[in-house]
Amino acid sequence: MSTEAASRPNDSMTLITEMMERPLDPGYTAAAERRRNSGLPASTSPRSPTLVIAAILIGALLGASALALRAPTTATGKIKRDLVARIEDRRAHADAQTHLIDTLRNQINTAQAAALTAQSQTGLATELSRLELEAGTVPVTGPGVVLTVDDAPTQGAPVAPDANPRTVTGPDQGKVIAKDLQMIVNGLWDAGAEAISINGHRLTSRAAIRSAGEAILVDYRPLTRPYLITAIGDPGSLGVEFADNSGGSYLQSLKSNYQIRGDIQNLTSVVVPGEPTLSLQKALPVETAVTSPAATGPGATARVTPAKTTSATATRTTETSP
Amino acid sequence: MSQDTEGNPQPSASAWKRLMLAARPRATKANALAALLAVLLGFAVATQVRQNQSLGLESLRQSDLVNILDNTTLESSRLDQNARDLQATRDQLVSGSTSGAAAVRAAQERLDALGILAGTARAHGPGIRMTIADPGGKVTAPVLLDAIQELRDAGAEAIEVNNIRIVASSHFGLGASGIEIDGSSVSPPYTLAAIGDPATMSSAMEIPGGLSENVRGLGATISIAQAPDLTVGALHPLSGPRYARPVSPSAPATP
Amino acid sequence: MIPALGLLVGLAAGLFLHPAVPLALQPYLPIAVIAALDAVFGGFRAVLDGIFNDKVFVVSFLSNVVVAAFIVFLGDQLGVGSQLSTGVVVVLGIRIFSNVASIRRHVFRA
Repeated sequence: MSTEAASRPNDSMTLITEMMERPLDPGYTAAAERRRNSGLPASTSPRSPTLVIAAILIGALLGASALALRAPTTATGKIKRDLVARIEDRRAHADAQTHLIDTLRNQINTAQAAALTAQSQTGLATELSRLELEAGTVPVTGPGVVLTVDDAPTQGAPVAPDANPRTVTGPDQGKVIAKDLQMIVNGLWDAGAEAISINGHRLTSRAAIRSAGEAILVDYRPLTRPYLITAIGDPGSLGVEFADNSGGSYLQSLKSNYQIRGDIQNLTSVVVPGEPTLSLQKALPVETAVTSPAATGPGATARVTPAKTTSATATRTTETSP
Repeated sequence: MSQDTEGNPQPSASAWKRLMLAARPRATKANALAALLAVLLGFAVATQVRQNQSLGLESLRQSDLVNILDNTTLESSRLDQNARDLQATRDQLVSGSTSGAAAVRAAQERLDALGILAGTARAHGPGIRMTIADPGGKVTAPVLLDAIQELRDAGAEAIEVNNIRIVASSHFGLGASGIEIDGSSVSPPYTLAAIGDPATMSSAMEIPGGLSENVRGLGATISIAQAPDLTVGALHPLSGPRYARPVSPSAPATP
Repeated sequence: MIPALGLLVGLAAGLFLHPAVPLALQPYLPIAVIAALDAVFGGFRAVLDGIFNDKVFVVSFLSNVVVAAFIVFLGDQLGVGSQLSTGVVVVLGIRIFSNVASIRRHVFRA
């Protein structure tokens, strides 16, 4: 660099300007100058042994470091990602099957209703829809409440998912656990709720609320926060009776002791979805309903025992239902 | 004067006008390529953002995830079986290959199943019987509530406690003379009968931290017996909801 | 051509022979790799500019690697290891980008 030139304003930035304007080692230009001056071609032969040896060494360096530096994705991290992917896959499949079952049920019901009418079995059809309503396989709507329950707002930094569980501080008291939801739902039933769903999953006689570690499952399906409990019942008394009974006081103590959030909202119309997949695997009826040909009313079904029952307690009597 | 990318001075058209000119769509290859690259970039950004908002599942521990995976797999296969059966029934009905009598029979079977699920019909099948003797009066309503939840989770299909049928709306509370189920008072010893897979249900009761440990910790005793066939004979009165009515068929079934 | 073949041979040797890198040198391996890449791209550009010199190439490569590793080592001793390492990576990265841009101009005339 010429030292006689007036200093430029950005003289102090030589590092950066050097880096950006002259990325090529100035050694090359200097050597090329010298070679041109002594009559040799500017560039050396690409076949010189020095170069080949250097190339081999560089290749070896790159290869060895590629192996040595391969960042080991923590085994747990990889396993967890794998698990989550499989869970998501299964859930998507389960959701698809649920929709399919819902569609099939509707189609079966329509076809059955038509067949039953054709056979003058409208009594049976009415019974069917009554029990579907009672068992919870169809969605229902009506006045009721929506109870929103959520964990206490966290103040500390979130724990890294790969963190060693042993070094993490004790159980987070502000977390909603399955028992909390069980007690709240128990209180709602006590207060006269007729249908309840949590985050869109209907509570039936087979649905369990339980914890899998830190997640809450309803009917084997994991829930995400916040937890919305929808209940249909008498608009005037449902919320009030809930607040007064054991469920309401349990929720109140959760709120005051652990800052768990719980808000109840009265609404004139809520929808509680049905659970179309509700079915039996092991249980069999003791008596089965057989309708006499002329009967059309709901109360006129005669109950007989199936002829081929293997149950030791089956009785061979015919009774008319009251 | 303003400059273009090479630093050559341009006539000072307003920057906005130049932007408008540049933004006009032209059907050139370069434009199409640029558009494609922009689409890819947008897609990549969206994917990354979505990736970042974790499902909430990633924050769970590995053992929890394994648990959830097992449950979801079981549920999946249960649903598959269910769907297959329903498909067979539907095909039969729709194709009209079933006689009217067969359709009636299918309806009756569904009626029977629903009756058991709603608690209005008696049921029999394999299951377990549990007896909780509580001389010290230490067993509380939440303990029984927990028992029912654990039984349901283990696949129980019909449950009765001290001759009271347990359905979806069954609730446990504390009354003047002890535990009340659905408003009726019950006193120890508490006898439960549940229809389902006997092995699954009894092992669910015995898991560490489960019902048996809980009951014994309170000073009560619990005995569980598997049975190849037992009857749940208690019935739940068919109340009929007063406020809940079916959603009209044209409305979407589930949210 | 021959040097390129040499590079491939070396790469294959490194990958398949699994040479054990001494544990003490392992922390400096990443920086050494980046410095090596910088020298290699500089060499490419020199070839395309027509002023390649094998001696300069070897010397620049060795000095890059040694100086980079030394700077990181010094930083570790002074307690600013990660910051110095970041600085070295930034400088080498910029040089690599500039050289690659020049190579690109030669090759694609774009």
